[in-house]
Amino acid sequence: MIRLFSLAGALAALVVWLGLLQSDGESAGASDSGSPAVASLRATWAFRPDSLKELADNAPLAVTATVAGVEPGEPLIASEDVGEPDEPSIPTQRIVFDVEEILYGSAPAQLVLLKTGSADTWIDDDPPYQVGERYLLLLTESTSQPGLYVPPAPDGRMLVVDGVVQPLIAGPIAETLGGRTEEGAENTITQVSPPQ
Amino acid sequence: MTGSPTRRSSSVLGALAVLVVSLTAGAASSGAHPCCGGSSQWLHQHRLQYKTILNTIDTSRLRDAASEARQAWRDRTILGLKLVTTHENARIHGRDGNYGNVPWVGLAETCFHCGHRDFFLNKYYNQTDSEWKGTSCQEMGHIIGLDHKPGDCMGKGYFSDYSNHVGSTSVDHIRTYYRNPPDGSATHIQLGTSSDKESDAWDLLSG
Repeated sequence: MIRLFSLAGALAALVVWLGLLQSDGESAGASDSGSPAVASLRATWAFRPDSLKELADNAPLAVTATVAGVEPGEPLIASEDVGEPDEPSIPTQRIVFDVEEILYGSAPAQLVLLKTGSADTWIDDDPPYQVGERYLLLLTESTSQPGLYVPPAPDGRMLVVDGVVQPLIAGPIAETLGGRTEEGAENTITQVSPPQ
Repeated sequence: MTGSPTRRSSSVLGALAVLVVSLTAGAASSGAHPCCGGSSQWLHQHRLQYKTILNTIDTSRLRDAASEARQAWRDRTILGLKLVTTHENARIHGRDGNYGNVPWVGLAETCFHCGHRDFFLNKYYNQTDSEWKGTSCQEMGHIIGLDHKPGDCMGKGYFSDYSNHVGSTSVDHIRTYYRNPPDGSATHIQLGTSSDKESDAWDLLSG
């Protein structure tokens, strides 16, 4: 009889624990079910160009390039907050490109692009790069990681598939270059290139 | 009413076992919400009270702008965004820093059923106070479940029709979606028992 009551007590404790598991949605860093949650990133872009000319004026370099490698990068941490125990870091990737053609500006034969996000978590309009993909890129140098490059706006990244330009974000640049042949888009970009 | 003590104990045990199985199944399924066909547009988190911590934003004008955005979401929607000053149980964490020309000015983490999420303001970029409010407004909007859309702060950087404020469409979406998840599943947010938005138990039914 005592054993039965002990068993009932244990079961009751289990019930209480499971009830707490269901109601506790505020456990830091986890989903309500207690399992790791899959996160995504949403961005407010600092700059969205109204024209290709405006994009080019903010991008000292334009190239066509192929993705040669994708590597984890140094996480972004607020420079003045280094050492704060609870300061979350933002993942980044280093995208290695073989440069095929320089449309304007100067670039090394292989350049590295700094990208916010990881293989698992990325900004919706800036999905992961895949090795072998070809891109039209309008770039500027990274201020936080010298030697690396970033597009000044998400519009500076344009996928090229079977010789056709496929912008990844809607807007004036996509309207101007989307669906164009690679050669046609390159000519248009060269025409609006800033003075070197 | 006249069963033996052993039989009554067995019945109690049986009922408890059924309850355990039921709760276990519920706990397991709560992490696999089918809402919205995988779209990130709706990312509700089972609560109307999103405790918010903003004193982790070091720069006063950015903190003030984020505070205005928090107040706008709190005052215009059915959600409570109670301002707290400690990390304990905060569901929205504001951050700022110089992250360089990355090139985002605001960034929000979103996910289904998360305990808490951070948003980041990148002070590498210069913005007016109003623009910082708009950026904060959009990042908080993402955390409480909204996608980019024209008409208010959720369109900033995506549509020519945008503002730095909380618009009526966002207010309507929050009211509708929190009561009726867009995938048709039953409302399963946790209801509170208070009509006070500053209460931990802020109640949907009074919203």
